[in-house]
Amino acid sequence: MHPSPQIQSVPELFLADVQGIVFSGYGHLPHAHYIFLHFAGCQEARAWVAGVLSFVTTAEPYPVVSGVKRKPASALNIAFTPAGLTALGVSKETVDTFPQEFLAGIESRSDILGDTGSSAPENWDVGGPKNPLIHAMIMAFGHDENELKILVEKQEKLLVRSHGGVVQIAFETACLYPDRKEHFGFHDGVSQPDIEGIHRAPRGDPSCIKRGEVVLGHLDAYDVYPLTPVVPAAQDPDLLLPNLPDGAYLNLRDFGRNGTYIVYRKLAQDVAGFWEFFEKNAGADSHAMIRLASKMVGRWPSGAAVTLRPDFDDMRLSDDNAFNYMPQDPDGYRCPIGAHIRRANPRDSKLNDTPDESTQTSSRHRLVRRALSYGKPLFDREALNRGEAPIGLRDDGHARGLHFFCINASIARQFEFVQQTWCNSPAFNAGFATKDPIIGSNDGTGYMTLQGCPVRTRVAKMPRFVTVRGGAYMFMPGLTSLRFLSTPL
Amino acid sequence: MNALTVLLKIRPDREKALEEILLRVQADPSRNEIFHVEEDCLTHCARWAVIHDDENGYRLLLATEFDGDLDSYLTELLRITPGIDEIFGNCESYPGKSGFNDFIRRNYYETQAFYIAFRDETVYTIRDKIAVRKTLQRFLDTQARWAVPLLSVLGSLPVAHSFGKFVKQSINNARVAFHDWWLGILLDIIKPITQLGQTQNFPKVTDPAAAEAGRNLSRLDGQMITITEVKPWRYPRLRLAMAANEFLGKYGYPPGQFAFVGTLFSFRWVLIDNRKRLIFLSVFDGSWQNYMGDFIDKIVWALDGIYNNTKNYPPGGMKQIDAFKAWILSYQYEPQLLFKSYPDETVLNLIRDREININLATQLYTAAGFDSEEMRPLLKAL
Repeated sequence: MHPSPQIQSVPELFLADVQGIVFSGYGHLPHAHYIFLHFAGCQEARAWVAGVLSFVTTAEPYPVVSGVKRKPASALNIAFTPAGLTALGVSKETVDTFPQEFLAGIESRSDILGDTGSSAPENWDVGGPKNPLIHAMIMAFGHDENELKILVEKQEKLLVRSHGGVVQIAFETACLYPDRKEHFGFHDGVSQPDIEGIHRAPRGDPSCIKRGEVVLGHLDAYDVYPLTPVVPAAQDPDLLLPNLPDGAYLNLRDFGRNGTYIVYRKLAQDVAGFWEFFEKNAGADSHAMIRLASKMVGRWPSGAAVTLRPDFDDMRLSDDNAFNYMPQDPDGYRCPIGAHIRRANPRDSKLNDTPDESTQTSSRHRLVRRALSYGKPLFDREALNRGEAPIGLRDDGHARGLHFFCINASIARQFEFVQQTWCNSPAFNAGFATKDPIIGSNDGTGYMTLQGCPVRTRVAKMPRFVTVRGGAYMFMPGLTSLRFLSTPL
Repeated sequence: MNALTVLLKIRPDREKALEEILLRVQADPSRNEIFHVEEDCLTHCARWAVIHDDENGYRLLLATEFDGDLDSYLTELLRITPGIDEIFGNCESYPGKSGFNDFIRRNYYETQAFYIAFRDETVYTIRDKIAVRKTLQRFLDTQARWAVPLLSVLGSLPVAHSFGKFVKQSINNARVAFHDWWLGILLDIIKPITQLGQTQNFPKVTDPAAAEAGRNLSRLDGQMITITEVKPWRYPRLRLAMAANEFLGKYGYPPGQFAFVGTLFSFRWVLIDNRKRLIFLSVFDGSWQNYMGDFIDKIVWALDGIYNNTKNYPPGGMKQIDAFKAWILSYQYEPQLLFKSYPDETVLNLIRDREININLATQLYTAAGFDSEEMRPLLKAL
């Protein structure tokens, strides 16, 4: 097992039990493959898990040699769907203790998530009713393509050794481009919550969330332990799994401890359609196009928050995430109330709440985002930083988008809530007929309201720029639970 | 606005047939032959649900919030329901159309506590306000080119101050301060009382079996129906808690802002079966998860005060969040037929619509031009 990320020491020795992707985005490993698997035989699959186990990257701090942090050249993590756990021989008693939304699966949550029309599961490339059933997913990362290839080849050998017990059913590639932008041209991944005891959040920082919001077996925002899947003690004769916290339910073992839920969404981006729309609505004027697009995102292409720099992009603020809305922008004149980032995390600006109440509510629905792009860029995205918009951009017929992952301890309270209640609600914060302009389930009938003085303006006929092309709800176990899954039945 | 809560015993083995009829109406509210739901101009919200308990078997719960008196409402219901016999023929003792009003009255339950967001509104007035807002939106969308310069000039004019306005504002400030003072005192008294008997030392690990709660439910957003069992000897305490909720709903908060939650259209409690069971009915904005979050963040005291008088309630109350969610799901029903008169509007939308109308009316009828302190922020955000 490889140790991993850049983590501050914590009083407990749990980091070696948490998979590395939970606390680190592996920023130094820009190349990734996602391998989707199906189990054909229970014992073979468990033996395969035993083989993969030695490759799994944990959240332990990277070793420091001669004062230099030694980061690994590759990393690997693994997660399972409910069907995968069943195929591995996990008992019904245990599977039944997983939350309802996880067991139902992402395909059956289309109404909540807005995965309708072209985004409906019937149209997906990965997952959904028309594709083979996903049982597990390997996430492999490499410093360069060669390192990634070496790691993936080792995984392929493990698959061969499973004698057909584990079959690859889909394979996706992704990368983090040097400009760290997603395909529309905006700096991505700026807003991540700091996790208590893990990251160096300033004391009292509103963006710092409890560990139990991300990892099972730890106290969450409500100061209770999140619901965790359990194994009857009789099914763990070797005492591999820990007891539940606080000495509760001694007849059960904690299968969820240090595990988490990971949501996968393959999101196709209509880059040409995106910039054509802004050219149509702002005129063929670079500054106006970029300004309007940035208003809808809530950040400038560099990543600088519009609420901090309302009139121009500012590279110095490209990674600045320590801001609130109410001090300078309560009415949305700078960053519109319906902008993407103001919906996904309203911070202190929820209408009808005090700033403190809003911050508390927002902190109870945070997600750890892990996203990498697929497909080649359609235009020179660096030009956006120089104020040059891609006027006259046309599609080249190639697929491109984002492999979006988010990590949370409660899919319903965190991922689904943000998607349903904030991003896709036409009445978010007392708005009228507006959904998230970037990732919302728009269908050409809604609006984007730009609050302004003396009157607001509205952009009409908002189309869908991002289409869902795949998805899965998965459980990413802690290392101890992985060992439990790897023991022969 | 009034509330109607009716429980009708379903004839043996007719519950599936009734469910199918209701689901058929739900699937095609505008073109079905049974119930012309969309012609209904008196109902704010209606839930039709088949419920079950071992003692009473299957029953049809009809719960609505409506305008006007009950007889007029039932007459209107008859008018828009050509398939009334088809629906209620599945219920015991249904006498046919001619005896419909009496039949409903015989099975009607009194509401013990009732909160509605906007007491002074009817379906017509709410729809009118929505129409006014939409007209104004269209005006701003199409006429902004010439309106903006004009509004900019008007907006930059100094706000007229007068002694009368100053006095009026001062009186209003004093009234608000007095209101906040007594509300604060009342809540300080009520909150600890409502949670008497609950423990702060509740287990922080939720029973893993809680994950199974609500597994058969799928349509939970926008409304809630729960039927719980009242603990023995808790009736007086329960009535006290209900009275406190009703009083605070009427006098404690501005319209649409119960406990400053801002997502509740209505809620009510109805005791049934000789005070043995308690129905809770609510209509709210958005998702079930959001609704739970609002409850837990803001009005723990209100619901704890009611529900800790019912059986199997978590000992720590709503603060045992996962246990509470599992508990409430295990008592929750989903309606086969749900109708809302203004489904796209939230409480905060309607508050804004009301402000627009009030200010527009003020401006129009006093011919005072566009120089309104209240109107300016609304135009900026509309």
